[in-house]
Amino acid sequence: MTRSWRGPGLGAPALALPALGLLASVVYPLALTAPTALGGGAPGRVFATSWFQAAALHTATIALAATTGCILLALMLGLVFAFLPFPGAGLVSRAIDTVIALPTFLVALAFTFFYGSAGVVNEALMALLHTDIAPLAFLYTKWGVIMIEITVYTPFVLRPLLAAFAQIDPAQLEMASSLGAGPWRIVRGIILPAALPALLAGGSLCLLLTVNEFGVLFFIGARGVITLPLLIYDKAIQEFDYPAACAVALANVALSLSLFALYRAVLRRLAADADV
Amino acid sequence: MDGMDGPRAAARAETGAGIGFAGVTVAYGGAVALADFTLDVRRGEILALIGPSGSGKTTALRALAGFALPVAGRVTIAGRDVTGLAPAARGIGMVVQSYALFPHMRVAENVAFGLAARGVAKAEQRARALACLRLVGVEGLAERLPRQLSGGQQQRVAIARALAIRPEVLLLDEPFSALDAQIRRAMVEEVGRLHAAMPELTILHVTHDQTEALSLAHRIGILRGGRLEAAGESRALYQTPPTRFAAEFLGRANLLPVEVLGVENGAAMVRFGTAVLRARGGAGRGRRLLCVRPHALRLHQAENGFAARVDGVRWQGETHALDLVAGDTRVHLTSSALREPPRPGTMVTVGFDPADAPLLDDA
Repeated sequence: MTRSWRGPGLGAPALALPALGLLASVVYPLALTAPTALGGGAPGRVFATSWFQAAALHTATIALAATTGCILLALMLGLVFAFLPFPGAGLVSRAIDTVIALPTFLVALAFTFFYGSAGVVNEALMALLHTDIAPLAFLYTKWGVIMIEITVYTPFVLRPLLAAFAQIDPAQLEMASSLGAGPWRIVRGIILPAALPALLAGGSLCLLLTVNEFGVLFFIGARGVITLPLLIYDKAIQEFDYPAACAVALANVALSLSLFALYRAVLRRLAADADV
Repeated sequence: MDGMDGPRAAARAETGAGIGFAGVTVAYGGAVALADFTLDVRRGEILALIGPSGSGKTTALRALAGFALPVAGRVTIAGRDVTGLAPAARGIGMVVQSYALFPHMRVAENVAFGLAARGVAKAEQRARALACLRLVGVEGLAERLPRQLSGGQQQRVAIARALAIRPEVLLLDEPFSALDAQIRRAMVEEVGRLHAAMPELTILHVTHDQTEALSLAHRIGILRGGRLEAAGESRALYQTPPTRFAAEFLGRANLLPVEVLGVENGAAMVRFGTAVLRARGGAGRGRRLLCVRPHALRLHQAENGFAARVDGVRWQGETHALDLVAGDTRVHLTSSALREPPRPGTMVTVGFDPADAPLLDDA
């Protein structure tokens, strides 16, 4: 007969203290946003405005475009690293991984140095074209934001994708080739279906992160590009309209949780398919 | 083994060029995996390439499939030089140890994959896939996924997939190694039957299993260190191995050190210890090796025999295996199960038919 170990006998009080601390410091402030948002009819007032709808649209389009870009770039890089290795491919792959460790505003800063109005590229172009106006201004539009987010978040798709590619039996590719399949058919028919779970998981994570991205947009200050996280900041910090900020936050959280639920549902579905 | 001889002989077409390797050398980095390899496989023939790990047998097969590019030499299929061709353009079917079925495709889709890649119409793809599945006896599994199949079933599907494109050449790369012994035997018989139904199909079978090679192949090539050590008709190579390595690798062999005394009535007279024995062929004199397979030795046969001490006796169900010592030489004897096997330590005489005992150079 065995007895499970029950600790030194502190029991419930030992658990209750950190739980209360967590409730007081994290859950309660978060929970406060709901009544603040819902009180006084803020959602109805906020959600009907054109600035909220524009922010929601910007958030969705930037997130979708950046995620699509991340998926395509990760797919291209992953195929090269995994199936067309070149000298130094491992080093390049690891260098791309390090982007995960960088704060997003740092990447935005690097892009400013490079593509900004006074950046290396624009200075070279201005000297070449004998003009005082920077020819490249995309960085301060939503395209600049999308480009930076693609740079920042591509490794989040690339890493699981490379892991999935590593699981593919090379003999499958050789069999496909010997059966008469060309490279495109092999990618489409063999590699992509095998990598689909990783692609969906990485893409969903990417979508979740880009929906909530704040640092890049704040740093770049793109003209007219206001997303939900930026709108929350504007309403709360610049206009002191806390009910409106909380209403937008509620919408942002709802969007994030919906995406997270979708992500979990996709993973569950894929796991269920794998168990058939 | 003998059971396969009838259909095997009947199935053999031998009507033209099948596969040709002409001075093929393959190197990985600086290491030569296959050196100056020359071998022809006739159309409709089954040739087994055997050899220890690293001997170059899989490299030869990969050079033929187009997955290893020779640094020298030529590879031909049906007389066509395919050395520089992409694998997709070679018209080969291939089956490997890991089956390599496409896991997300149903069985019928797996089999039809090559047909789709070749632009065959959808309706015909399905019909041909089902016909091939029927050929290998798994037509009832068409809608299953590979992970829902046993190893033997997966291997049958892999064979059906390889045959669906109606290849001129079928390459088998240790296809049965992952299967248990009983299923492996069944699969070997299955491939024999398939070949009887498609006698024009040339098969190159790479295996480390000599029994598989002997059971299935018309001819066998033995590779050693990236070079072709020996090649010949399966039975001839087994009965008269040209080298010590071939004798030891293709089946078990007792290699008795003997001194050739001369030739008498067409048989070589040799001295083994104190016994004078008769052997097959072997003109000349000097020290040679007498090759006698364990099952060719007869227990208690004094004629053309020698004395040996029993060192060990192992019952193996249908057979008894005896470990004997004659002078300084260990000798293995296999016989059908004995009613009263000799006890270890006792002396016995063992003999053999001179026709079953060729002489080899001691190299």
